[in-house]
Amino acid sequence: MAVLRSLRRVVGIACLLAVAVAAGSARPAPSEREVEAAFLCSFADFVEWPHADSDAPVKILVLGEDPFGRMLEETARSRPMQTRPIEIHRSRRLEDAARFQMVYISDSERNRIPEILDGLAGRGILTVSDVADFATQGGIIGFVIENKRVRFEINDEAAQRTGLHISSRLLNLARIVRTSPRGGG
Amino acid sequence: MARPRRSSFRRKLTVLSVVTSASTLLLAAFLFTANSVRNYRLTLAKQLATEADIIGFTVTPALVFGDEDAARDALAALRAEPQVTAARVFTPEGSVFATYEVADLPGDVPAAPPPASDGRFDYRKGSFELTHLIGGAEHPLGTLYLRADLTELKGRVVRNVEITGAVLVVSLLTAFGIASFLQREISTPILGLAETARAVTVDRNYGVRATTRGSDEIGVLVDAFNEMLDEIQRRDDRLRAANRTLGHRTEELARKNEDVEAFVYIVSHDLRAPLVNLQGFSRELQLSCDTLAQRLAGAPLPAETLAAVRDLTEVEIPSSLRFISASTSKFERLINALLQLSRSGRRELRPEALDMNDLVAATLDSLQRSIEESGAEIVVEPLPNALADSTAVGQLLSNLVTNALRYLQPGRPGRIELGGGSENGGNRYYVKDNGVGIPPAAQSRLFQVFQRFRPDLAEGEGIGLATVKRIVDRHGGRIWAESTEGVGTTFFFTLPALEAVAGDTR
Repeated sequence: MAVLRSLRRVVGIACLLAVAVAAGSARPAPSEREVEAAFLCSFADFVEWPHADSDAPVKILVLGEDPFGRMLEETARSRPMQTRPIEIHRSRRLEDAARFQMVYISDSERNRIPEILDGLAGRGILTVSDVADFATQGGIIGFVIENKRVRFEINDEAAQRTGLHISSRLLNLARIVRTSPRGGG
Repeated sequence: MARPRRSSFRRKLTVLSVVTSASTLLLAAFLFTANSVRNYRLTLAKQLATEADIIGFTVTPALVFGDEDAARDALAALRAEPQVTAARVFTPEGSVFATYEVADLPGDVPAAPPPASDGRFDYRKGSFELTHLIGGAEHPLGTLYLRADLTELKGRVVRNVEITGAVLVVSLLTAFGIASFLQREISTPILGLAETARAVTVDRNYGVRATTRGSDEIGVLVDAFNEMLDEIQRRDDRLRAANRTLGHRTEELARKNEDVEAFVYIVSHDLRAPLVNLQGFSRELQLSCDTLAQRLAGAPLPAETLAAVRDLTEVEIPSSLRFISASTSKFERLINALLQLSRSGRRELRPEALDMNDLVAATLDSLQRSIEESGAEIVVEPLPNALADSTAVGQLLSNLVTNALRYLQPGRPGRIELGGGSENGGNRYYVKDNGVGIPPAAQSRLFQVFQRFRPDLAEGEGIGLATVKRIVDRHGGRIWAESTEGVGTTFFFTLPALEAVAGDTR
């Protein structure tokens, strides 16, 4: 019983971190950053990479200044759907990104987004960022705030172009966008 | 009387078949319905489980990314499943995440996830409930609650009951028809048998026969019954023939008996007149003889002639006349006895309540002289009253006592005892003496006319005991004697008891 109870508690905390808790919950609402960390880890469960071993860990690189800290490792460990394990790495150099499946582009790299996206194009890498209009600039998933809640935009065209298959179940939850001509130029 | 039984037998056979059919049909229908309900439950459980899997899969990303609108949309897909009336998704913490409800079927959807394991399927408050853990039991992302209403199940049961009812009615009508038809096979020969038995019992008609059919047990029964009737008919015929012969003989005997009685009466009556003449003229002859003797006494006749005539008138003629007188007296007694016997058989009896003690006393009074002459002691015990003809029974007693007095043992003080008592259906009386007794060889002929065993002891005509027997017979009684030679004789006879007859007439 004790094991079951502790397991429940762990699961409870994990979910607290993982989802935006419905209004009316007595617990303090998680911060936007916490929600983003949870979403970032969960994206791995809804995306298929080309030529990838489905059991192998999904490697995530945080490019630029890390806004999450230890939070990201904890979330990766306790996220609800653990279809595949997750490894977290951090780097400031774009060259290191080539061997990762997911790259989170930090707000610190806001000014060189086109350069980074060009560098990662065609390598089958899922790019995620909370930089404004990230998806319309050619990124694949961009966080947005809607009604004080974290949501996300997906540029499915960009994903398909680089060889990624995003589950329709995830697409159902997102706002689908295309690369805008100005942003793509 | 035979009619309702007939129909009840037929009805019983038919009811037997119909009830049997109905029972099996009802049982089959019940099992069929129960199985149908069970199958429906299993199917529904499987269907709901599949539904829960699909919904759980669809709603997973919504749960993961906290999108309640997407979850509601996913649940809205349940509109395609009319039996699902409510669904609700709970977060792992137990708060409501999304709800689906059919508008016109509001039910109290639980506010918290039911404390249950995955895949729980329950029947509760008229609906089926299913609880499903989304994302598996190990890392549940939330709980899905599904409720299916029972309208369709109820409809199914109602349809089943309707179909069963219709089948039952049609089947029972068919069974009734078939049973009504088939029961004839059994009931017709048996009813025929019953009808034959009734004809035999009520109409005494032994000539009828039951219809033979088949070689089964009923056929055997009918054959045996017919054989029994054959036998009965043969015996009945023989019995009737015997009765007819017997009737003829009885008539013949009665006629002959009447002839004999008439003859006895006529003979004795007609013999009386000549007898009286004989007696009268004998007396005349005696007077004439006396007169002749007186006349001759003074007549001038030679002495030898006178002596010879005197010898005739005083010795020879009176002697002959005495013989004639004695013979006519005996003749008269004989005729009187015969007349008595004849009367005892012809006179109409008038049975009445008879005080036997009084009657015995009167009889003994009338025999007073004979009793005194014999010197016998007479003992009378109290006697029960009888229902009989007073004159006849008086004659009977008189004859028996006279008989006893006549045959007392010479040289032994005579003792005659009269007594009696009640026995089954009548009274038994006896007259007991200590006389000479009756030789065994003679006892069988004791009550026949003109039988005399000891003519040396007493005068008699051999008619007294025959008269006695006739009187007892005509009263429906019995008479018999127990006798030891040299010791004495007891005559027993029975007469109807007063009480028994009174009881019968009531």
